Amino acid sequence: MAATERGQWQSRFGFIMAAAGSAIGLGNIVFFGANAYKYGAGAFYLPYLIALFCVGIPVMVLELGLGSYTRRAFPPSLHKIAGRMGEFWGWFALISATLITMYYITILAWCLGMLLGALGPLWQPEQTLTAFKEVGKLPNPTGYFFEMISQWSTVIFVILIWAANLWVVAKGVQTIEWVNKIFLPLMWLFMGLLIVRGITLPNGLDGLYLLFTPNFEVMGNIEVWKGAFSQIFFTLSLGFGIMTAYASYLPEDADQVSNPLIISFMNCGFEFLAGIAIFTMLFSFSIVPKASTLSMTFFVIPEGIARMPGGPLLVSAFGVLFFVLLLLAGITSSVSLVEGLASALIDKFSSSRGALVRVFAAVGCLGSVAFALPLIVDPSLASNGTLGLTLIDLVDHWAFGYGLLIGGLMECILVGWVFGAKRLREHINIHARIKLPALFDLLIKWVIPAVLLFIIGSSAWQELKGIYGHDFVIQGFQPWLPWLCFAIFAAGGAILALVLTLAKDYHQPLQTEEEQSA
Amino acid sequence: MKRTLILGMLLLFCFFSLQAIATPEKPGIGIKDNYPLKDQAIQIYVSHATVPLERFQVSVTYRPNSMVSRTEELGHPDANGYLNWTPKDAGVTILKATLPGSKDKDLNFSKQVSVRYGSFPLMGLLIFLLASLTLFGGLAWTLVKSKPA
Repeated sequence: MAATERGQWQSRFGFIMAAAGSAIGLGNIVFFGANAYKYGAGAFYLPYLIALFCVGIPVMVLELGLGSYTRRAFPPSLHKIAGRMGEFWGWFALISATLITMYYITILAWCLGMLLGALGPLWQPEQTLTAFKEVGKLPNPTGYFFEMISQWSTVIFVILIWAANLWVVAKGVQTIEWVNKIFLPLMWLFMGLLIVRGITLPNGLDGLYLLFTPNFEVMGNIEVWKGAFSQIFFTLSLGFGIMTAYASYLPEDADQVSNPLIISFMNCGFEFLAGIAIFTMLFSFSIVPKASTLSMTFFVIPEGIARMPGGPLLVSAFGVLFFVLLLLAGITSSVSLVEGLASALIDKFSSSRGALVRVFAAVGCLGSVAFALPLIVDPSLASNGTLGLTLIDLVDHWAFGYGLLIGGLMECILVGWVFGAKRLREHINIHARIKLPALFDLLIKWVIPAVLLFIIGSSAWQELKGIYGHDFVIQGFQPWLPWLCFAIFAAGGAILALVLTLAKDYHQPLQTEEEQSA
Repeated sequence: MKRTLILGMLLLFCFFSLQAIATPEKPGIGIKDNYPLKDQAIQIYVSHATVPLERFQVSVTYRPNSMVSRTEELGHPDANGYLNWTPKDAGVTILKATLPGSKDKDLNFSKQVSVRYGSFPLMGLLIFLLASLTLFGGLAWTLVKSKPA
């Protein structure tokens, strides 16, 4: 496939903006600080930084190095280094990523709905729930959110967000580049405004102290370390194969040590700042954080914004700012998720971008609409309320909680043991200013697989007590819906990955730089 | 004239005395200062129109929703609904007043209170510096060391 059809980044700066835009998503803005708070506040930063250097940066180097080495998307890259078995795991990871894309876009659609609400109705004291009649009224923003997701109008928001994503992906890599070049600086600017507002609130600075003051008694708890290593893996969007796809659009002499370092530091630096912005506000208004992205996004932070001084206009302005920030961060991430799959399909089937966009428009939209279904499954709101929100909860548990980690584990095993970590390191070091030490091999072959195996194993152990969601209220869909979601992830993912692996062979393998020189 | 003055002063005394022991009529739990300081005593008040206030049990949860969350029983308020509390930890806390044995929402209430640190704790400052220097220092170092864009 000609490089021009696959596309190529116009500049290194553009690539870094796009890769950082992919990594910085909703979770960075709302989840990191809440996670840190949950795991002992300041004490969490020590395992977090250790995880960044022991897992995050090495896997980021691996993914970018792999893309640079093979100049292909994720599954064909793994095919190149480990044959069909490798390709299978590449597709499996991408299918998990596709499931995540579908509900991620639904969440963005809800952010769009909340953005519209932030212009006025979201800040009313309470909301009458028309669909949840048993509940009657709920205080806002919780009431507004549940009223919104119980309406079919959210489907229109889903279509709008998909249209934005497909427009960018259809235009190709260079459009992804310029969208990120605009959106990413805007995100930093908006975050800066939120920080200034947060620390200038009455007693806002004490929120900063709350976030960083450590409680070292938790350091001996394995859950804290597990939380830190999972956080790093998720926040850097590892295991999705996106970074491999993005690196495949780079020129051959790209420095794949400094690039991952810059992307990782930018991503973690952004969530470090986001934690400050959120915690100064939460402390000032005495709001208890919750370690859940959805709760923080739709309930906790809007509750803080609603209490901001300065009158309704300023409250609306900061509400709009917050949800625009989420949309910018979310769209740069969702575009990369769609592009990760698009590039893999282009490589595999030599498809045109236009044809792929039509497929995504149909399949992706249908998937996201399923996650937006406003059918009421819990009229008392003891669980998730609507079918769509319940499906997000269940699918997220498998696709996000397991899919990415399995993808990461397999790529480390395939690169470390089948291809050779040393071989990849030597390839990366050809063009790197900062040379990778031999420690990289040890991390990829032993440390990271051991850590990921432990996290996956201990999570799976918890499932033995009962499948995730068995205790949910899901009227009309219990007890089989939790099992169906698991089956879609595990069996559906495996079968589809197998079909895609066997569908067509790569007849014209692209030679790597080393092979060409040999 | 003198009698009227004495009566007026008596009425005024009664008014201020009543005001001193009165708590808001709306059922709930409150605090004298919205941002109490760690290790400094503060008064909590519980109010309810019908239930004797000393029957309520007051507790505080430090750092709720976290792994280091812990609850401390503060005891019962006096007949006027007042109770002293010295926050042992800073951060967001939840004050609760419950009537033992009752699940009635009107007899169980809570309030979220932010307890101030007063100044940046030394360990917190060190962690803040470590994290910010690692992340932003690392970014700057990499940019300097790597090839120009």
